Amino acid sequence: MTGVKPSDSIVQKQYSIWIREGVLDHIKKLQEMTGVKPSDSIVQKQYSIWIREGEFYNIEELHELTGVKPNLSAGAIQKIYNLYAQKGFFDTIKTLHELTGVKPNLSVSAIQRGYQAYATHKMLGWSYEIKKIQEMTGVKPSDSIVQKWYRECIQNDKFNDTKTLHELTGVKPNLSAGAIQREYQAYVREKNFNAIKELYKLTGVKPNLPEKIIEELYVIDIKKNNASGIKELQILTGIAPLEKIVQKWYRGYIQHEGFFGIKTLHELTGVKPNNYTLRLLVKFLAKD
Amino acid sequence: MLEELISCAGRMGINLSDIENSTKQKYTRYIEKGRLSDVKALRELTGINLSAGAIQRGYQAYVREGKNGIAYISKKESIMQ
Repeated sequence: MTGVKPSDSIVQKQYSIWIREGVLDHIKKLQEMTGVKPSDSIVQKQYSIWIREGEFYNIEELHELTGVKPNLSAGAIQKIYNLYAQKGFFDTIKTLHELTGVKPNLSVSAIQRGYQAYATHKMLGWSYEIKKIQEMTGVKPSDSIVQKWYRECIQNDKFNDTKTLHELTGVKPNLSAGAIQREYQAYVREKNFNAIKELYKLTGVKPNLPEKIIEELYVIDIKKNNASGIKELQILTGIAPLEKIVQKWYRGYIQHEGFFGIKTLHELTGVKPNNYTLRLLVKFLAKD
Repeated sequence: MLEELISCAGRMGINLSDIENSTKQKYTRYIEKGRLSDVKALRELTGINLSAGAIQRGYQAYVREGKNGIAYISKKESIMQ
Protein backbone atom coordinates (compact mmCIF):
# COMPACT_ATOMS: atom_id res chain seq x y z
CA MET A 1 0.00 0.00 0.00
CA THR A 2 2.73 2.49 1.05
CA GLY A 3 5.65 0.85 -0.69
CA VAL A 4 7.61 1.19 2.59
CA LYS A 5 9.04 -2.04 3.95
CA PRO A 6 8.98 -2.73 7.70
CA SER A 7 12.36 -2.15 9.32
CA ASP A 8 14.58 -5.16 9.99
CA SER A 9 14.32 -4.68 13.74
CA ILE A 10 10.51 -4.85 13.61
CA VAL A 11 10.67 -7.98 11.46
CA GLN A 12 13.23 -9.63 13.78
CA LYS A 13 11.10 -8.74 16.81
CA GLN A 14 8.11 -10.43 15.18
CA TYR A 15 10.22 -13.48 14.27
CA SER A 16 11.37 -13.68 17.85
CA ILE A 17 7.76 -13.70 19.13
CA TRP A 18 6.58 -16.31 16.63
CA ILE A 19 9.59 -18.55 17.20
CA ARG A 20 9.17 -18.33 20.97
CA GLU A 21 5.50 -19.23 20.65
CA GLY A 22 6.19 -21.99 18.11
CA VAL A 23 4.02 -20.25 15.46
CA LEU A 24 6.32 -21.19 12.65
CA ASP A 25 3.96 -21.14 9.67
CA HIS A 26 3.87 -17.31 9.55
CA ILE A 27 7.67 -17.06 9.33
CA LYS A 28 7.85 -18.27 5.76
CA LYS A 29 5.30 -15.68 4.57
CA LEU A 30 7.08 -12.83 6.33
CA GLN A 31 10.41 -14.01 4.95
CA GLU A 32 9.01 -14.02 1.42
CA MET A 33 7.40 -10.61 1.94
CA THR A 34 10.38 -8.86 3.44
CA GLY A 35 13.33 -10.89 2.17
CA VAL A 36 14.65 -10.80 5.76
CA LYS A 37 15.58 -14.08 7.47
CA PRO A 38 15.31 -14.63 11.20
CA SER A 39 18.67 -13.79 12.75
CA ASP A 40 21.01 -16.60 13.79
CA SER A 41 21.01 -15.43 17.39
CA ILE A 42 17.20 -15.62 17.70
CA VAL A 43 17.15 -19.07 16.11
CA GLN A 44 20.07 -20.43 18.16
CA LYS A 45 18.59 -19.09 21.40
CA GLN A 46 15.34 -20.92 20.71
CA TYR A 47 17.19 -24.09 19.63
CA SER A 48 18.91 -24.28 22.98
CA ILE A 49 15.56 -23.89 24.81
CA TRP A 50 13.92 -26.58 22.65
CA ILE A 51 16.86 -28.93 23.04
CA ARG A 52 16.60 -28.63 26.82
CA GLU A 53 12.87 -29.37 26.56
CA GLY A 54 13.27 -32.14 23.97
CA GLU A 55 11.08 -30.27 21.42
CA PHE A 56 12.87 -31.61 18.39
CA TYR A 57 9.98 -31.41 16.00
CA ASN A 58 10.11 -27.61 16.18
CA ILE A 59 13.88 -27.60 15.72
CA GLU A 60 13.58 -29.62 12.55
CA GLU A 61 10.88 -27.34 11.21
CA LEU A 62 12.75 -24.15 12.04
CA HIS A 63 15.91 -25.60 10.53
CA GLU A 64 14.06 -26.26 7.30
CA LEU A 65 12.59 -22.75 7.32
CA THR A 66 15.76 -20.84 8.12
CA GLY A 67 18.57 -23.14 7.07
CA VAL A 68 20.24 -22.37 10.42
CA LYS A 69 21.84 -25.47 12.00
CA PRO A 70 21.83 -25.88 15.78
CA ASN A 71 25.16 -24.55 16.89
CA LEU A 72 25.98 -26.29 20.14
CA SER A 73 29.43 -27.35 21.20
CA ALA A 74 30.04 -31.09 20.99
CA GLY A 75 30.59 -31.12 24.75
CA ALA A 76 27.21 -29.48 25.40
CA ILE A 77 25.49 -31.99 23.11
CA GLN A 78 27.18 -34.92 24.91
CA LYS A 79 25.99 -33.51 28.21
CA ILE A 80 22.44 -33.35 26.85
CA TYR A 81 22.72 -36.90 25.44
CA ASN A 82 23.71 -38.22 28.83
CA LEU A 83 20.88 -36.36 30.54
CA TYR A 84 18.41 -37.95 28.14
CA ALA A 85 19.98 -41.37 28.63
CA GLN A 86 19.53 -41.12 32.40
CA LYS A 87 15.83 -40.43 31.86
CA GLY A 88 15.48 -43.34 29.45
CA PHE A 89 14.78 -41.03 26.48
CA PHE A 90 16.82 -42.94 23.95
CA ASP A 91 14.59 -42.01 21.03
CA THR A 92 15.28 -38.36 21.76
CA ILE A 93 19.01 -39.03 21.66
CA LYS A 94 18.60 -40.56 18.24
CA THR A 95 16.70 -37.52 16.96
CA LEU A 96 19.27 -35.09 18.36
CA HIS A 97 22.02 -37.17 16.79
CA GLU A 98 20.32 -36.88 13.42
CA LEU A 99 19.91 -33.15 13.88
CA THR A 100 23.40 -32.33 15.02
CA GLY A 101 25.45 -35.08 13.42
CA VAL A 102 27.33 -35.42 16.74
CA LYS A 103 27.79 -39.09 17.64
CA PRO A 104 26.49 -39.85 21.14
CA ASN A 105 29.15 -40.90 23.61
CA LEU A 106 27.06 -42.17 26.50
CA SER A 107 28.51 -43.13 29.85
CA VAL A 108 27.70 -46.64 31.11
CA SER A 109 26.25 -45.21 34.31
CA ALA A 110 23.87 -42.95 32.33
CA ILE A 111 22.75 -45.94 30.25
CA GLN A 112 22.20 -48.05 33.36
CA ARG A 113 20.19 -45.23 34.91
CA GLY A 114 18.14 -45.14 31.71
CA TYR A 115 17.45 -48.87 32.03
CA GLN A 116 16.62 -48.27 35.67
CA ALA A 117 14.02 -45.68 34.61
CA TYR A 118 12.20 -48.42 32.71
CA ALA A 119 12.28 -50.66 35.77
CA THR A 120 11.11 -47.93 38.12
CA HIS A 121 8.31 -46.45 36.10
CA LYS A 122 7.04 -49.82 34.84
CA MET A 123 7.21 -48.42 31.32
CA LEU A 124 5.53 -51.09 29.33
CA GLY A 125 6.61 -52.15 25.94
CA TRP A 126 9.94 -52.38 27.76
CA SER A 127 11.10 -55.51 25.99
CA TYR A 128 11.15 -53.56 22.75
CA GLU A 129 12.90 -50.66 24.50
CA ILE A 130 15.55 -52.89 26.10
CA LYS A 131 16.34 -54.38 22.73
CA LYS A 132 16.57 -50.94 21.19
CA ILE A 133 18.81 -49.55 23.94
CA GLN A 134 21.06 -52.60 23.78
CA GLU A 135 21.41 -52.26 20.03
CA MET A 136 22.00 -48.53 20.24
CA THR A 137 24.52 -48.52 23.07
CA GLY A 138 25.96 -52.03 23.06
CA VAL A 139 25.52 -51.98 26.86
CA LYS A 140 23.34 -54.62 28.55
CA PRO A 141 21.28 -53.78 31.62
CA SER A 142 23.04 -54.68 34.86
CA ASP A 143 22.11 -57.88 36.67
CA SER A 144 20.50 -55.98 39.53
CA ILE A 145 18.18 -54.13 37.12
CA VAL A 146 17.27 -57.34 35.32
CA GLN A 147 16.47 -58.98 38.66
CA LYS A 148 14.29 -56.02 39.54
CA TRP A 149 12.38 -56.52 36.26
CA TYR A 150 12.00 -60.21 37.01
CA ARG A 151 10.45 -59.33 40.36
CA GLU A 152 8.08 -56.89 38.64
CA CYS A 153 7.06 -59.56 36.13
CA ILE A 154 6.54 -62.22 38.79
CA GLN A 155 4.57 -59.92 41.06
CA ASN A 156 2.32 -58.94 38.18
CA ASP A 157 1.83 -62.46 36.76
CA LYS A 158 3.63 -61.58 33.51
CA PHE A 159 5.48 -64.80 32.94
CA ASN A 160 5.67 -64.38 29.19
CA ASP A 161 7.69 -61.24 29.82
CA THR A 162 10.16 -63.21 31.95
CA LYS A 163 10.89 -65.41 28.94
CA THR A 164 11.47 -62.35 26.77
CA LEU A 165 13.68 -60.84 29.46
CA HIS A 166 15.80 -63.97 29.60
CA GLU A 167 16.12 -64.07 25.83
CA LEU A 168 17.09 -60.41 25.68
CA THR A 169 19.56 -60.28 28.54
CA GLY A 170 20.73 -63.86 29.00
CA VAL A 171 20.37 -63.27 32.75
CA LYS A 172 18.49 -65.93 34.72
CA PRO A 173 16.11 -64.98 37.51
CA ASN A 174 17.79 -65.17 40.87
CA LEU A 175 15.19 -64.98 43.59
CA SER A 176 15.73 -66.02 47.17
CA ALA A 177 13.84 -69.10 48.38
CA GLY A 178 11.93 -66.89 50.79
CA ALA A 179 10.89 -64.47 48.06
CA ILE A 180 9.68 -67.34 45.86
CA GLN A 181 7.61 -68.82 48.70
CA ARG A 182 6.13 -65.39 49.40
CA GLU A 183 5.10 -65.14 45.75
CA TYR A 184 3.51 -68.61 45.93
CA GLN A 185 1.53 -67.52 48.97
CA ALA A 186 0.39 -64.38 47.17
CA TYR A 187 -0.79 -66.47 44.21
CA VAL A 188 -2.65 -68.80 46.55
CA ARG A 189 -4.42 -65.80 48.07
CA GLU A 190 -5.39 -64.72 44.55
CA LYS A 191 -6.34 -68.33 43.69
CA ASN A 192 -4.04 -67.94 40.70
CA PHE A 193 -3.27 -71.53 39.85
CA ASN A 194 -1.58 -70.80 36.53
CA ALA A 195 0.85 -68.36 38.13
CA ILE A 196 1.88 -71.06 40.62
CA LYS A 197 2.66 -73.43 37.75
CA GLU A 198 4.55 -70.74 35.86
CA LEU A 199 6.61 -69.70 38.88
CA TYR A 200 7.64 -73.31 39.42
CA LYS A 201 8.61 -73.64 35.76
CA LEU A 202 10.64 -70.45 36.00
CA THR A 203 12.44 -71.12 39.28
CA GLY A 204 12.35 -74.90 39.70
CA VAL A 205 11.56 -74.27 43.39
CA LYS A 206 8.58 -76.22 44.68
CA PRO A 207 5.92 -74.41 46.66
CA ASN A 208 5.86 -75.17 50.33
CA LEU A 209 2.13 -74.99 50.91
CA PRO A 210 -0.17 -76.64 53.45
CA GLU A 211 -2.04 -79.72 52.17
CA LYS A 212 -5.38 -78.02 52.66
CA ILE A 213 -4.34 -75.24 50.27
CA ILE A 214 -3.06 -77.75 47.70
CA GLU A 215 -6.41 -79.54 47.76
CA GLU A 216 -8.10 -76.19 47.17
CA LEU A 217 -5.82 -75.70 44.17
CA TYR A 218 -6.97 -79.03 42.76
CA VAL A 219 -10.56 -77.88 43.03
CA ILE A 220 -9.66 -74.60 41.28
CA ASP A 221 -7.87 -76.49 38.53
CA ILE A 222 -10.76 -78.85 37.94
CA LYS A 223 -13.24 -75.96 37.91
CA LYS A 224 -11.24 -73.50 35.85
CA ASN A 225 -8.95 -75.60 33.68
CA ASN A 226 -10.91 -78.84 33.24
CA ALA A 227 -8.34 -80.67 35.38
CA SER A 228 -5.57 -80.00 32.89
CA GLY A 229 -3.11 -79.07 35.63
CA ILE A 230 -3.72 -82.04 37.96
CA LYS A 231 -0.61 -83.95 36.93
CA GLU A 232 1.62 -80.88 37.15
CA LEU A 233 0.23 -79.98 40.54
CA GLN A 234 0.87 -83.50 41.76
CA ILE A 235 4.50 -83.34 40.59
CA LEU A 236 4.87 -79.85 41.98
CA THR A 237 3.58 -80.60 45.45
CA GLY A 238 4.04 -84.35 45.80
CA ILE A 239 0.47 -84.43 47.09
CA ALA A 240 -2.28 -86.25 45.20
CA PRO A 241 -5.79 -84.83 45.05
CA LEU A 242 -8.02 -86.16 47.82
CA GLU A 243 -10.10 -89.09 46.64
CA LYS A 244 -13.28 -87.44 47.82
CA ILE A 245 -12.59 -84.48 45.52
CA VAL A 246 -12.07 -86.76 42.52
CA GLN A 247 -15.24 -88.73 43.33
CA LYS A 248 -17.18 -85.50 43.62
CA TRP A 249 -15.98 -84.44 40.19
CA TYR A 250 -16.80 -87.83 38.69
CA ARG A 251 -20.33 -87.36 39.96
CA GLY A 252 -20.43 -83.87 38.47
CA TYR A 253 -19.33 -85.22 35.10
CA ILE A 254 -21.92 -88.03 35.24
CA GLN A 255 -24.65 -85.50 35.97
CA HIS A 256 -23.61 -83.43 32.96
CA GLU A 257 -22.94 -86.45 30.72
CA GLY A 258 -19.32 -85.45 30.43
CA PHE A 259 -17.77 -88.79 29.59
CA PHE A 260 -14.65 -87.26 28.19
CA GLY A 261 -14.17 -85.56 31.56
CA ILE A 262 -14.55 -88.89 33.37
CA LYS A 263 -11.97 -90.51 31.14
CA THR A 264 -9.52 -87.60 31.52
CA LEU A 265 -9.93 -87.42 35.28
CA HIS A 266 -9.31 -91.14 35.57
CA GLU A 267 -6.21 -90.98 33.38
CA LEU A 268 -4.81 -87.98 35.22
CA THR A 269 -5.43 -89.09 38.79
CA GLY A 270 -5.43 -92.87 38.51
CA VAL A 271 -8.33 -92.79 41.00
CA LYS A 272 -11.15 -95.17 40.06
CA PRO A 273 -14.78 -94.31 40.68
CA ASN A 274 -15.80 -95.77 44.08
CA ASN A 275 -18.84 -98.02 44.56
CA TYR A 276 -21.21 -95.14 45.11
CA THR A 277 -19.98 -93.31 41.99
CA LEU A 278 -20.06 -96.56 39.96
CA ARG A 279 -23.66 -97.16 40.95
CA LEU A 280 -24.58 -93.65 39.81
CA LEU A 281 -22.75 -94.25 36.54
CA VAL A 282 -24.48 -97.59 35.91
CA LYS A 283 -27.87 -96.05 36.72
CA PHE A 284 -27.16 -93.21 34.32
CA LEU A 285 -25.96 -95.57 31.58
CA ALA A 286 -29.06 -97.72 31.86
CA LYS A 287 -31.29 -94.65 31.66
CA ASP A 288 -32.47 -93.46 28.22
CA MET B 1 -13.08 -99.55 34.61
CA LEU B 2 -15.20 -101.67 32.24
CA GLU B 3 -15.00 -104.77 34.44
CA GLU B 4 -16.02 -102.79 37.52
CA LEU B 5 -18.98 -101.35 35.61
CA ILE B 6 -20.20 -104.78 34.47
CA SER B 7 -19.83 -106.23 37.93
CA CYS B 8 -21.59 -103.23 39.52
CA ALA B 9 -24.47 -103.52 37.03
CA GLY B 10 -24.75 -107.23 37.94
CA ARG B 11 -24.91 -106.40 41.66
CA MET B 12 -27.59 -103.78 40.95
CA GLY B 13 -29.63 -106.28 38.92
CA ILE B 14 -29.40 -104.17 35.75
CA ASN B 15 -29.27 -106.05 32.45
CA LEU B 16 -26.29 -105.27 30.23
CA SER B 17 -28.63 -105.16 27.25
CA ASP B 18 -30.45 -102.21 28.89
CA ILE B 19 -27.13 -100.40 29.22
CA GLU B 20 -26.25 -101.28 25.62
CA ASN B 21 -29.53 -99.94 24.21
CA SER B 22 -29.43 -96.77 26.23
CA THR B 23 -25.74 -96.19 25.43
CA LYS B 24 -26.43 -96.50 21.70
CA GLN B 25 -29.16 -93.88 22.04
CA LYS B 26 -26.69 -91.64 23.82
CA TYR B 27 -24.19 -92.12 20.97
CA THR B 28 -26.80 -90.93 18.49
CA ARG B 29 -27.62 -87.91 20.61
CA TYR B 30 -23.98 -86.94 21.15
CA ILE B 31 -23.08 -87.43 17.48
CA GLU B 32 -25.92 -85.15 16.48
CA LYS B 33 -24.60 -82.54 18.89
CA GLY B 34 -21.05 -82.94 17.60
CA ARG B 35 -19.82 -84.23 20.99
CA LEU B 36 -17.49 -86.79 19.46
CA SER B 37 -14.99 -86.80 22.31
CA ASP B 38 -17.78 -87.88 24.66
CA VAL B 39 -18.77 -90.61 22.19
CA LYS B 40 -15.22 -91.91 22.16
CA ALA B 41 -14.90 -91.77 25.94
CA LEU B 42 -18.25 -93.53 26.45
CA ARG B 43 -17.24 -96.20 23.99
CA GLU B 44 -14.01 -96.79 25.90
CA LEU B 45 -15.88 -96.82 29.20
CA THR B 46 -18.57 -99.29 28.19
CA GLY B 47 -16.91 -101.24 25.38
CA ILE B 48 -20.13 -100.84 23.40
CA ASN B 49 -19.63 -100.16 19.68
CA LEU B 50 -21.58 -97.64 17.65
CA SER B 51 -24.19 -99.01 15.27
CA ALA B 52 -23.80 -98.31 11.57
CA GLY B 53 -27.20 -96.58 11.77
CA ALA B 54 -25.94 -94.09 14.39
CA ILE B 55 -22.96 -93.18 12.24
CA GLN B 56 -25.12 -92.69 9.14
CA ARG B 57 -27.58 -90.54 11.10
CA GLY B 58 -24.61 -88.48 12.25
CA TYR B 59 -23.52 -87.94 8.65
CA GLN B 60 -27.06 -86.94 7.71
CA ALA B 61 -27.19 -84.42 10.56
CA TYR B 62 -23.82 -82.91 9.64
CA VAL B 63 -24.70 -82.69 5.95
CA ARG B 64 -28.05 -81.09 6.82
CA GLU B 65 -26.44 -78.52 9.10
CA GLY B 66 -23.35 -78.08 6.99
CA LYS B 67 -21.07 -79.11 9.87
CA ASN B 68 -17.56 -80.11 9.04
CA GLY B 69 -17.42 -83.09 11.38
CA ILE B 70 -17.83 -85.56 8.52
CA ALA B 71 -14.15 -86.20 8.07
CA TYR B 72 -13.79 -86.54 11.82
CA ILE B 73 -16.59 -89.07 12.28
CA SER B 74 -15.35 -90.96 9.25
CA LYS B 75 -12.02 -91.37 10.96
CA LYS B 76 -13.78 -92.35 14.17
CA GLU B 77 -15.84 -94.94 12.30
CA SER B 78 -12.76 -97.00 11.63
CA ILE B 79 -11.73 -96.70 15.25
CA MET B 80 -15.08 -97.58 16.67
CA GLN B 81 -16.36 -100.31 14.41
